[in-house]
Amino acid sequence: MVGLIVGGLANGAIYGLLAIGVVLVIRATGVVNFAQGEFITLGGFAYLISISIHANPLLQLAFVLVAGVAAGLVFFVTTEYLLKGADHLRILIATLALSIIVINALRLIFTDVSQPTPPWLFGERAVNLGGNVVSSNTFVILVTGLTATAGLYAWFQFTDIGRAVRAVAENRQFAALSGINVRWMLAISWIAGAVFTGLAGLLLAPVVSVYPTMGQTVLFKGFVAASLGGFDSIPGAMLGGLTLGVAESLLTAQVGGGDLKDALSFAILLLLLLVRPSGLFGRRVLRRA
Amino acid sequence: MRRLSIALLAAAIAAAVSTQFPPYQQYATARIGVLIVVALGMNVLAGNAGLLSLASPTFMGLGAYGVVTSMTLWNLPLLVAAPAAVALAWGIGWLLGTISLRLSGFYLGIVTLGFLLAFQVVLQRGGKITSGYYGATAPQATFFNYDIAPETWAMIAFALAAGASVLVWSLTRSRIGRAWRAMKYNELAAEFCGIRPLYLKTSAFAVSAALAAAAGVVYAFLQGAVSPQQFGINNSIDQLTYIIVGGIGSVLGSILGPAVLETAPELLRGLGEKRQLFFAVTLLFVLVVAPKGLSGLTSSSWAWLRRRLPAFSDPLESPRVPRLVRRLFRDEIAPAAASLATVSGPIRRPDPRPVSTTGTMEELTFDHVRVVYGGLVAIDQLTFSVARGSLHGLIGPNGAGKTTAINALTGVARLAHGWIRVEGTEFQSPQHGVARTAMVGRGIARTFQTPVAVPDLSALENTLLGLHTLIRGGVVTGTLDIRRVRQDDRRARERARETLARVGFMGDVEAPVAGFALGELRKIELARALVSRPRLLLLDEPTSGLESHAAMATINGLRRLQETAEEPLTILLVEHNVPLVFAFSDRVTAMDRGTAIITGLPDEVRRDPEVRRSYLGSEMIEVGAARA
Repeated sequence: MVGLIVGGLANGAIYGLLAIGVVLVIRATGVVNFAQGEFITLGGFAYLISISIHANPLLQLAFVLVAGVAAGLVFFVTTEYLLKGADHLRILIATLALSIIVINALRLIFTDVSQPTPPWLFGERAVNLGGNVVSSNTFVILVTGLTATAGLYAWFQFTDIGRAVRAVAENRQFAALSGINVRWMLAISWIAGAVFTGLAGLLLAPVVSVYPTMGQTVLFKGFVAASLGGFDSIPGAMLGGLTLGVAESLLTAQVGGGDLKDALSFAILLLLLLVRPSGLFGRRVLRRA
Repeated sequence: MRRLSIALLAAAIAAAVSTQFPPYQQYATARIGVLIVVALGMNVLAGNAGLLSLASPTFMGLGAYGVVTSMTLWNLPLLVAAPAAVALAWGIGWLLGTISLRLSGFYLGIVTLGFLLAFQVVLQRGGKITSGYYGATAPQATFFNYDIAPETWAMIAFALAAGASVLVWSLTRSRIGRAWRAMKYNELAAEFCGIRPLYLKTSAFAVSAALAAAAGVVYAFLQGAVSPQQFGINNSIDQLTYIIVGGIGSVLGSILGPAVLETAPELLRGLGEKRQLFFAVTLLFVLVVAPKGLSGLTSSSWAWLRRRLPAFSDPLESPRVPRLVRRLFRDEIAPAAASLATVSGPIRRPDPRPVSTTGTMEELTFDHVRVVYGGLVAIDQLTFSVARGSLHGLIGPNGAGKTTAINALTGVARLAHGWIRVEGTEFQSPQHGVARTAMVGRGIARTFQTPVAVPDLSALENTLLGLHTLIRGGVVTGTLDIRRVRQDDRRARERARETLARVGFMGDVEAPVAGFALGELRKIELARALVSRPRLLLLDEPTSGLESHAAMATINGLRRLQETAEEPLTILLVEHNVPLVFAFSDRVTAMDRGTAIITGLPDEVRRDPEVRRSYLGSEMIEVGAARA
């Protein structure tokens, strides 16, 4: 039971990081990014490459972060410049196209083979938790996920740039009138969204190994986590992710069969939309603008 | 049923044409026919209602598996199984739509992604019902003891594509199609026409689900088998690519998209694994370079041809007409003629009409109304009455709460305190509210400060929006164009033309209104409000942005409208042009800082010292300050 919960929390932290990325992008651009899962995949591949050149853990992290920054910039340029003036529907479809392009480009380069990676920082180690043996990677995932969330939250609350990003998300026009460089803040939102989700790639890679559709597989979980969090706050998204992770872990243990997870998340999403559409941790219902 | 007959005729011709193909081409084109039907459904949703679904392959799968399973397992005949599968998809579409469309538009994308994934799980683990990973073989379908051969299914696919194209075209031009476009463009304005957004979005989703399921039924028999891999996320991307490349919101695009994209890879043999990459890159390329897709390119090249070929062109556009003449006509003569038509009759100052002070003659009463936005009290203790049949001006400086008063009356802003009564009965209060969508039914119509006219609809169609609740025709009846609906439509069009003429609209009533001048858009909006013959008309700054003679003509036109109306027409006019209000109104209410200072005859209000101080005075102070 403890093992199930801890395992669920670890999965949940990954969903949470994905959800944070989704929320950052949606708040800044008003669009659900259907390529958010590919930030995980790119993070995973960056980690894989860093391991193959025997980089130290700090350099490994740097690889993943740089991949996130680059991916975020590409998406920012595509949506803000190439698709200038396009409506939400078209931008949304463009993110889907980008997702398929990334997956298939990786397929061409790295093939479909899953490539196992050792866990980040401590390698393969087991921790005894009151009789339950849990892998050390589980704790790395949890601690990294929670630290990153807390850091991002603090950055949003207490720094000028963080506040400016929030102001742009709230109202672009007013933000521009108060002298905020809206373009820059949108770029920062995209980059932060990609970096935090890319981090999830580094954490997920040792669990599922690295392959081109590794991110696409968890994308929907990220959406459900973000919905649980109400689509409007960073801590809410992480809490949503943890809740989903634990619920999934406990319920699939009851029913049996990991392949049921997608159907389960869908059931949770429908239930949520029926009972509490503003999310478990959200304050207001997002309505069509 | 004229349109149904056209659809059937088109279907028969397509089926006949299909028999002329050699077997492989027949199969390949029949497959395209199936995909066209799916694309038509996606286009109803994306192009008309502005929504995105990823679950079109899932609904296709529901149709395919539905028909195969129910025929193999339960021995249902095709004629029962096929409609049942389509009805199931319609029902599930309705259910999912109702759950997710109450919220922001992007939830539909997320929910349909989840539905697609969950359906895959069900297919894989469905045991005997879905036959798991490898899928099931389609049974031999019979039609009254006659075995339907594969070639016949190809004919059916052709027929379905042709028939569905005509019907979807008909649907987008029906009352429901107009309402979809209005709602996509401006939901609030659509609600004041009595259009219920949730209902319409859900019906668009259900229509697209049913079309995909119908395509799925034919697809199952055409392929001879069903398997989970046919209905996955990659199919979803393919289908999105069809409508983007073809062109969102156009029936022609739904046909061109699958036709071009399914033919191209056939020609580029050896694409193999890179097929998906090819689709995704094409998708992104088209989004960036030609957002309107192939059908957009088709119509713009058509427009280019029309400009080049003298037979089609507007004589004024000919290079032989001197530019000065063209400009004079376009900018001076035509607008002047238009405004003359509106004035039609001497502008005169009307005598103030006798206005009774007894309650029975009061059309509208504000009684101690308070509206609060967050912590800001927008209006407070607002009390005034509007007499039936009068032109009542509502003036006041910026921020006085004039628009909020209209919003409170029309259900946009909630009352924190007080009552608004219409014809003496309670209409809005903190406990009881009449919804925006019920305004037309209660005889109340309004216009907006910035006119709202749906750009891709014509002036006539924009006006018809005002009659949405008064004419019949749902998704099915509107599409089939049955006699009752057609009669309604003809009468509605007559009335809309009449109304456009009454407000002095001079432009082409059949042309899309995108690019019309502000004055014409205002007339269209006024026509849309008037066409339902309201008893109470609320106008929010109908002259703002118009030059003085057009403004005068507009207000004078309102008076004429009241004089010629069969039933008494009460007009509440929010207006910044104070001299015009004083010149034409029966009564005037002056507001300042959220409350009414005085209600009375124009002269009384003009002379009132408080009005002068708060309103006219501040203007003078501003002028003085500007001079100093």
